Amino acid sequence: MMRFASTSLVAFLCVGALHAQELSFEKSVLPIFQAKCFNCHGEKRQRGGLDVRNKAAILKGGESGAVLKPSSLKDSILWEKIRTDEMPEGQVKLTAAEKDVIRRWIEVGAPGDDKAIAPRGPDLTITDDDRKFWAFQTPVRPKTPASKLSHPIDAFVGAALDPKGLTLSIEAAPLVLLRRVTFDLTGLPPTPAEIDAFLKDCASATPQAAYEKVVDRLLASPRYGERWGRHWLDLAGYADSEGILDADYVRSAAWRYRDYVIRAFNDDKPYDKFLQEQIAGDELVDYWSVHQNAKELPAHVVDALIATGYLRCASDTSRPDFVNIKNAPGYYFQTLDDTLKIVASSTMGLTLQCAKCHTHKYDPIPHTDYYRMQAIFMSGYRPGQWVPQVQRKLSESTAAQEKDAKERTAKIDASLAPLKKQLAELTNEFTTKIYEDGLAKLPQETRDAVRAAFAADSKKRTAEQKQLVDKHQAELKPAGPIIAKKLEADAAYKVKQQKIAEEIKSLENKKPTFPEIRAFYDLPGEAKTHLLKRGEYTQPGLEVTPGVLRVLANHNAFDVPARPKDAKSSGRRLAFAKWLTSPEHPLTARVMVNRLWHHHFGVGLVATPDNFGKTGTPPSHPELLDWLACEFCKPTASRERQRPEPWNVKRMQRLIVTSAAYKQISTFQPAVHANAKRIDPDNRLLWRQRMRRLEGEAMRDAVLAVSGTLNPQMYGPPVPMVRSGDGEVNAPNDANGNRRSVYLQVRRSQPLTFLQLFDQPVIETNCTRREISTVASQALTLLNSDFMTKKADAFAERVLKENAKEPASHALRLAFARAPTDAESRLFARFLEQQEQRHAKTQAAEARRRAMADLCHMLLSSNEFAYVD
Amino acid sequence: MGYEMLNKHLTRREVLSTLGGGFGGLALASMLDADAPRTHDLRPKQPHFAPKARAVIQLFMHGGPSHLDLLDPKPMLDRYDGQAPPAEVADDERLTGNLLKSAFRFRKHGQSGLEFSEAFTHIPRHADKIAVIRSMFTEHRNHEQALWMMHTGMVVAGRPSIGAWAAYGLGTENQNLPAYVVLPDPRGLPVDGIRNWSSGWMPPLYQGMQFRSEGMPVLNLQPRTPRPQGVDANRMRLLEELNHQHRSSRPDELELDARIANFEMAARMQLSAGDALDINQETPATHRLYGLDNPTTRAYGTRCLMARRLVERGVRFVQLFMSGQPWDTHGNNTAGTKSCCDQTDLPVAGLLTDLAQRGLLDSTLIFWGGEFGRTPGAQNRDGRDHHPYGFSVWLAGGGIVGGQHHGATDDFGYHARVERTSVADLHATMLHQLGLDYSRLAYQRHGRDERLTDVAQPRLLRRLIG
Repeated sequence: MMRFASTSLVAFLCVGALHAQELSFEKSVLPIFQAKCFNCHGEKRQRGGLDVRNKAAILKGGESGAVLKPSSLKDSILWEKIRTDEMPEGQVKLTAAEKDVIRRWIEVGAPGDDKAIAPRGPDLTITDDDRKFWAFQTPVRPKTPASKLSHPIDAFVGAALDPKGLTLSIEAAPLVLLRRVTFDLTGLPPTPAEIDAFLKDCASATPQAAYEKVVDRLLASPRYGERWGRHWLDLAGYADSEGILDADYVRSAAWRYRDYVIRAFNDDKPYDKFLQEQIAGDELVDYWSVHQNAKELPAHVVDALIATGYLRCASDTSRPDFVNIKNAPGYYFQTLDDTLKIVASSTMGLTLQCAKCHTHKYDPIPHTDYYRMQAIFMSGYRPGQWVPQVQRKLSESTAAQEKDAKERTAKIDASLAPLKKQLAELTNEFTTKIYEDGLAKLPQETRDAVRAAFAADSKKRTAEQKQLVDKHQAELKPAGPIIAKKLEADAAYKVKQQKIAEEIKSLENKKPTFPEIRAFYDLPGEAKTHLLKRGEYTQPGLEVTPGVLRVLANHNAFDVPARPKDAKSSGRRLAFAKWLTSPEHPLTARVMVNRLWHHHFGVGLVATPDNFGKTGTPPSHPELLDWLACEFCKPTASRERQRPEPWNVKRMQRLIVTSAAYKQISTFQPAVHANAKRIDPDNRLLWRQRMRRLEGEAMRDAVLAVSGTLNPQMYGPPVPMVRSGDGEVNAPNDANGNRRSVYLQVRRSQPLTFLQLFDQPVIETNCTRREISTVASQALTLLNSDFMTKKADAFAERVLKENAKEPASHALRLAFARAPTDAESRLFARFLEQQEQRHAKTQAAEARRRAMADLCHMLLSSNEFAYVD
Repeated sequence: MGYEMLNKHLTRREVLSTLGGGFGGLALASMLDADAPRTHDLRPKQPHFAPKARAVIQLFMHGGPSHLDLLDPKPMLDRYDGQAPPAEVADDERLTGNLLKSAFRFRKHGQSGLEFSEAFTHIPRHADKIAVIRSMFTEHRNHEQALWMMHTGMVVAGRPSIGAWAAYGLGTENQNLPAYVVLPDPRGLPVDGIRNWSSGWMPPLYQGMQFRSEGMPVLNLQPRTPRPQGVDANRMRLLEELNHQHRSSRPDELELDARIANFEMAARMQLSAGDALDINQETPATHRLYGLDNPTTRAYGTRCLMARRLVERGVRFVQLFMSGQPWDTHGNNTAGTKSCCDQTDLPVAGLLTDLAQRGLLDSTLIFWGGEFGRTPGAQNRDGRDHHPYGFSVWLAGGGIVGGQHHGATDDFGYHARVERTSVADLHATMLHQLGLDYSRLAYQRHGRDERLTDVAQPRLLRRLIG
């Protein structure tokens, strides 16, 4: 393997590559040969005596004679072999675009440096061994193991437990199960009404039917999309601000992408389409031609454009004054690199960053592959011709609408012009008055001199005049803000000014505007991508063409179709999205089903959901993972009557949460589990479910829900944050601030204190797996923060109102979704009595309510509230 | 189970707190199991080798203090004042004008003869304890990027700060206080706010906790409205009982113990944080030493004194910040620099004196410096612009050999020329004093080992660490 081979030849090529305008061997042809022909006609061997590493060698030909005659396709055997796919011999053929390059190159006389040969280091050859790694092979549906367990998931899990003499545990109690599945699917606790309905169904039908009814209800609930949308937004690295700089500019339209994601989950948008829209929505719906030809943008086009907000999540360092900075594009590359990182880690579970600077040390990802992938997004993000994020926006309009708007605006501007002139004259009149009034107050003898000093050209003033101007400036011709204040104070001016200003405003308001779409789209012109040595912008190497990871390229073709010269979009992203969402792709389906599993079991079948590479954790149940992946992307008709729709996320979740593996108890039972614990201490084989802690958002949302203050309003601009004097960042204390956490503004520099404490990630790029931390500030915040105190008060008021007879048990039912034990009832009674006495000393009238608030507060702070069994 | 039983659990809690490590004493979910969701704690960790320093106090000078006016004397600037800089050092971004001499004279101090400008009157008394690095350079001329570089090792946002790395690598010796404490200016946060002490993609357990020098020392340490006597204790007993019952039917869930212990730690912190920051326990002489008797030095002096009290109590990393970016002297270099020195010079000298007297200086590494230096060329009449190519910082205590300077800039103070010192070199050296090897202090993320110094291959400043 040549993964660590020398890179010294890269330098040799880069200069020519940068400036070559035309097709040349080293720039255009060599990369193709290198990727697809070197295995047999390169350094290691020269089949048929042919070496295609440099032009001179190709011209020399092979054992059977010449293979290339410049300018003559019909005399070039090389072309014939490639054209007919006779070569390369393996599965990987040249794409149409690549063939086109070879053909044109030969036609124009096969230009190029005779001696140029391929750089080796950054471009290792992918071997068959590399491709054999499990995660790089298309999953093949394994046969469901023969089992007495009817659910296919259970058959697989059972088959892994069986040889160890282990079994699944018993099913969890109905209410434990209800709380688990409700939090899992909606991120909220079950309400008392839902508890009652479920228990009633359990009594009248089978518990299984009652449970399945609950699952269907939860999957259909709009709360489902809020929960699972939030998971996806972590992967996308969603934020409402550009981040990076102290100013942390707010992204005005990012929320529309957030809403798109929530809707996509709620509407059960097929996952392949979901990815295609996010990566290439604009190309998928042929936005530019719709823009040109349609009267207005159809809803599905708007939706697809909003979806590309996924590629606009990466933070941005651009600021206008960066033009002064040396190598400014180096900083812009950060946005492009982050985007690549987000795409690769969220969809393919791969870490590409290593390959940015050098060939990946563990995974077969050559340095060039990184830049081939980068080239896919280069047509939109171009560090060399950077457009700051704040200036990249599409409006929700067509060319026709824009033309019409322009005309209407021009008309309004025409009526505005005299008004604006009038305003300027008015201001001028009054400024002159201030000047003259001021002058009049000066002693007669200096007056003329001052007037002359101000009248003089500022560059030609004498020293004396300068002094006079300096002295009187503030009072006679003050700076902008001061003069504005003075004018403001002048009643006569004010009346006239307001009248004109109102007219201007009302006209301005009539100007047509269109909603903004924070879309990703290609910039005009052809984008070039170079390999960057050591990842440094200042050290460009060989030019690369768009491509995908070659270790994955065998399974299905990545092909950018040729586009007309004036096409506004390169088609690269659509080609990539199609490649990515092919059912033959080894990773896409596996990574997604593993994420679902991760959220339903606390740990994925692959425990490192962001790393399916060689340094990741091998799957605990490889066959189950592949079965789920196949069931996801190429489902069979075996379970349902009709062949189910592929890439259906809800269907997969229904499958998972109805398995006995999911429904089993999570609590360790020494009498039953001792053996299992000894054999498989980490429960990798799933002999029980896993107890899990609520994430920050679920925790906050549950507090809102239980206290009866949750505002269920969906969608729309984010709820702005309030920053207190002592640095705490909170949601406003009103109905808007009581909305679910997914709707709160995500400002990178000002994370909501509560959520951040409970491990909401700081959005640098994206978050592929949340951490779980236990830090003293969490306890202090639960016990003492205004937020928790107010919610505990509201919670107490609610239970006292809803169940005056047994408020404490009602509170426990709300918080824990179960009835209190007798011991708890006694404990509460005793606590309330004591606490009431204590409060009575200071707040007699409020004592009962305060005691109840204390009880409610402790329920919200308890472990049982924070954990799901 | 009745309410009477509560007292029994109190006993358990008392036992834990007398151990001083309720948190530490309990084993958490297996740390070695890479597959399980990672859990984190602040129990003391073994360093990689015997440390020289137990703690760090970082005196962060926001805005970019002028090396040319404080720590790096340049006679050539005096000689060529007002003239165009020579081509070899000229600012190729052409942001500033002609050379500007310093308004401050430099003098040699101590046995070593280490030079300081007269802008400092007190710190130079410690010349023989201080090592000035005159050959620092960084990678960006913009505040934010340079701050991220200085705090987190790279010019990108969102990485853990060096204090977070120290907390992650070493934990803390006092479970009643956080490992990493930040003392911001009560007048306001520094530029870039809380990101200066962020734990980035590490869990918030490792981020700097703000202790305030006025009012309630820690956010939510107490409720806004105090609760009547006995109310709190009763609430905590109820919580304990709820958690105990929950825990007892869930054997094998050690994570629950950690969360229970966490409430206990919070309770202890309510006492210890107040105590740690209570400077009224100090003598009037100590107050004077830190300049608490003078309105100009009082605010910074208070934070310096608090820093000593925190380090004394086992806090691992303490950072002091000023509001905004006071050292950013674009238009008023002489007056601005002097004003910053007036506020900080005496308190910093007092801190060094106090630590030395108490025998704490040997085990406490002091860092003084900002995110970059300032240009030798003038901006406006008396201003200097940001300057990343050469600047100075200083270290003292924690095993640092004082009375020397390391490296040099060119004759005009433009470029670090001799023994060029990258931020990674500085970070690696600071970690080294804490007993940490920069290359082994790694955090797994996205299948990659992340380090404070990322992929840099820093050199330790050998002469400084003896």
